[in-house]
Amino acid sequence: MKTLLTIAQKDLRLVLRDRAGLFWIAAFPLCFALFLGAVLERWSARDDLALIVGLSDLDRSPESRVYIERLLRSGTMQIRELALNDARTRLRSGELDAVVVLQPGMGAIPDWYSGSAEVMRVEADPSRRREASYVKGLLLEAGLARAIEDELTTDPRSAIRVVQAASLDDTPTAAELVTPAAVLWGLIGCAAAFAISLASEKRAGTLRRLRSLPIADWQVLSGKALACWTACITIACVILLGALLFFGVRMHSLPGLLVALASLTFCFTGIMAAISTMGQSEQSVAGAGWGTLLVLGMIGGIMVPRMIMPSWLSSIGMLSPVRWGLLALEHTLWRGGSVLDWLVPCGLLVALGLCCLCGGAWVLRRSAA
Amino acid sequence: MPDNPLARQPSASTSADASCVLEARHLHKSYGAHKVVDDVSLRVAAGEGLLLLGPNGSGKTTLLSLLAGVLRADSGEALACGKPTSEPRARAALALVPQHPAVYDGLTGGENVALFGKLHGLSGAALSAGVESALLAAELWKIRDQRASAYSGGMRRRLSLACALVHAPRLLLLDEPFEGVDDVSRAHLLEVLTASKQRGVALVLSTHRIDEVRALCERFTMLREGRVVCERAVDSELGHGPSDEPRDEAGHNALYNARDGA
Repeated sequence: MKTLLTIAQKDLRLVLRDRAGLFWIAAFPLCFALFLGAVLERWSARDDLALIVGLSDLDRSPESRVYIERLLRSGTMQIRELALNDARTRLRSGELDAVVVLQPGMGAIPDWYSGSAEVMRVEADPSRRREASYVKGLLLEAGLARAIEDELTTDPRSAIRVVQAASLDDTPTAAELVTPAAVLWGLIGCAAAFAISLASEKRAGTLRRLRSLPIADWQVLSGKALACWTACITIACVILLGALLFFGVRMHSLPGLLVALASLTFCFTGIMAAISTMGQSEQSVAGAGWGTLLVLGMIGGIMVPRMIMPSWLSSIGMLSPVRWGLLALEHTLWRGGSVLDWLVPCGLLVALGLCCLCGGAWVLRRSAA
Repeated sequence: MPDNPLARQPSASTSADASCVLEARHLHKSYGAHKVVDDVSLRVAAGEGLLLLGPNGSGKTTLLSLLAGVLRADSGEALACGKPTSEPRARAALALVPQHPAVYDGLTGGENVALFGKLHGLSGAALSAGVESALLAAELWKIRDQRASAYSGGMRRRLSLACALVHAPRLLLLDEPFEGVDDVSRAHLLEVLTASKQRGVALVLSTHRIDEVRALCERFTMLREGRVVCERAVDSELGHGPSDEPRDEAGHNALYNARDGA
């Protein structure tokens, strides 16, 4: 153990004295948390994220005007009244999400919401079909609201009620959504920074020298792993404490959170150990490290939000330790649920970490042959 | 502060044959089909110096790595004080000084030496004494708090040697120790190595500067393509003129090849 502590102390000292390395470990995850937090704050405010729709009124009747005014008041979309050609040009350039065309004769059909005739057309980019359907629903709702006011029909909207999932006490805040991702970015930065250290030792010749000492290869790698784990747990605790104390992030289960942290940092330490043996030069290890970790992060849901991922990509993401980490942290912080909800991801993280650590030690040992 | 930093005795041997510090038996090492070390055997006694000669690519560095336990031999074994150097504990008796000064630039001179002392199991007063002795021997004591990145090439070479001396090894394996070193540093390194040898430390070193290590080595072993082609006493074979230079079994001039890196 003394040998491991000596090597870990040396590696931590070297990292702390390297300002560029410190940025990736300490500053980068905080920058990311602030950036993503700002994005999600705007998301929750919704105004900036409302769909931008061009509206072209070809009917120009008093009835169509009343309908447009109602749409403008609802605030569900940012509506820009435009000539049809201008709207189509802006749609093609990506400036608009969709174009709504009120067809001539719309005002003459007061019960158009019953589907008696086509009175509107939604033109959308082929890649934005989901948004087009959303716009269609909002247009129908606006028409229906008028009919309900005029007592032409009863309100069918009361037949459907949207509620939150039973396990959730309240809607997660932007800080609660961002915190697990920020922790994972911190761990990715740590793992990538420490992975390079073994290649640096190869280049400087110090690894050859360490191997001539009365210590085994696994001790060299374990010492580095201990340094990486110490840095990982420190960064994760700093981010979590900041989130809990200053941003009001809820904590559903303290024991769960501690288990999640321990297993998550162990997993990323193992990944670091495996990556560190992947190449001979710092460049190749850095490339392999960031490449691997960014892909894991991308499919895991900390780079691209899961809500906008296609289903196949979201399914693949279940294989990423980043996703397991997100689930473990979200369940122990704000999502709640049963113990198994966070224990299973934690078990997967520990198993993967152990495999990676053993694999790294095996590769390092083989390199002496 | 110790009276004489070079006067510390090497750590005690646990071997039955105390006079034999290093023994290599039929070492073989290949990378694919290329034989780098081919059936090399040698013995070095306490206080003895062995010079490894040979042109570039003849296998000197690989042989030193095998002797130090850094690389695993395909067959054969290297013993330090009677124990195979492939076992970590056996390596406590030896120290490897690589060709390029393998020190941590981000650590100070003192931290570098202390690190290797700790990894050799030293602690407390023994560690402090070892660090002080090694740094004084390398004449780096006054600048021990500066980072190694601020050291000159010669200083880094001396620091590398200090890291090797911190645990008072019984065997020093030196790979081209005088490469890229100025005259002043070279003279100092020679002085440190001579003092170590006089205290009974066995030396195995590879170098192209044969004239400078004459005082350190009693015997030389010449390698070509991984094989030992000549093994003789230095005094009888290494003269000052070209006619005195050693020749291998095929009659090639060993020193000429070594100097030119042929």
